[in-house]
Amino acid sequence: MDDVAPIVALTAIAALIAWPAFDAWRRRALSREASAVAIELLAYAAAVRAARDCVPLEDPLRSRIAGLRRAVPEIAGFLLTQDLSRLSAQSLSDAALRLSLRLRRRVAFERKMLARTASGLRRGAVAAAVPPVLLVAFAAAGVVLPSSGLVALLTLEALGCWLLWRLARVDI
Amino acid sequence: MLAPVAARARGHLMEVPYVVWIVLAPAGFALAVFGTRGFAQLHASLREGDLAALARPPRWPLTRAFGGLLAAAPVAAITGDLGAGRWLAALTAGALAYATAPQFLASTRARAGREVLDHLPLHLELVALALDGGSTFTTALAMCAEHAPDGVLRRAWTRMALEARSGTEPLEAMREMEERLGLRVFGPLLAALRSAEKFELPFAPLLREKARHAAASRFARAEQRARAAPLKLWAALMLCIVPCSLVVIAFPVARLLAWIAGG
Repeated sequence: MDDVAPIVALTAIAALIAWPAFDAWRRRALSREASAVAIELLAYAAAVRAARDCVPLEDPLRSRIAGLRRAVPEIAGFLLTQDLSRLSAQSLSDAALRLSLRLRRRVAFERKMLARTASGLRRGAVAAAVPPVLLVAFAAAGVVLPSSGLVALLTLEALGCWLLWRLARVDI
Repeated sequence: MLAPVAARARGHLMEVPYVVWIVLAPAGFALAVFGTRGFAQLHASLREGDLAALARPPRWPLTRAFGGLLAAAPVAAITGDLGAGRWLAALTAGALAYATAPQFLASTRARAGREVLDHLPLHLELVALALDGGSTFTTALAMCAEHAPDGVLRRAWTRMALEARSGTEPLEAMREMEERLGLRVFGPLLAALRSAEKFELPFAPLLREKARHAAASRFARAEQRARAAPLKLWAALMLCIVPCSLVVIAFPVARLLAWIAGG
């Protein structure tokens, strides 16, 4: 039991350190997708204006937009336009332009937020990596932290990493 | 010489709880019944967006007392080794829970209010779109309630749409929703809609303009939070993560000191 506890603790700490970084990576990927969809929406708005008719959304674009729905609630507004049969082409085009603008604003905000918090997250990851390194070093020297110490360490690290994740995340 | 006296005193103290339990059990049961009802009402008010009801909740002292009891019980169980001290610890935990309950309620209410304000632009946009699509105001409210993401505002909106469907005048239903939510932002919106109705102006452009303002306010709030984020990250680092290294270092240092002290 005593042999397994440090390994479990080290694995848990590694996961905790990776958590905020993983979330930042996921948000970057989401921003890239939102940016690409915003560009496609601009093209779609132009196509609707040129045709002066409610051009149906192509399935790949529709599924990409629907994929962003959880992260970008404003998508619900645009998806509603697809269910309104009496909507004018002008209104549809305006809705596409508005969503495109909001996506771009969201992406810009997200990038700014990631840039603002990157150094804090990096510092946090380095500081959170120090205790496991010390644990390994002490273990090599024959000093093993008791289970109560490991629990206290894990609790503090979990709280710290949760706070890093939560504070680096501002939704608009 | 004092040992038997202390043991007898401890024995007496340990006997007291049984008597107290017998006397207080019905009171505890009654408190649990009323307190659970109070919590259920708070939960329902929060869920349905009846935030105004949270300003002065019914049976609030009993609910707070039940919260105190819930906080005190585990403390009394954990600190059993302390003898009579366990009751002091439990009393302190219960009193703390009782005293801080209003702050918890206020922060929960503020959080629900912020969520409502964050969701408002989308709701107004949905109603405007439905109106652009040729729907009546009542149908637009129902479509908005159907398509909006889940949250306090959506549930409040659903209730308003149901009231409008059942014959209440839509703007009157909106006024009732404003009273329930207790947020000032709905007052100007309602006044603007009444004016538009009076002068027979279309609602959609007005709602879109209000949605734009609400989105700008939301963006400003997010900017404010974003500006404070680096400082908060620093605080989390210093208060939670740096002490972890101290926890790890403290153990061998303590052992070393004990070894030196032991010669």
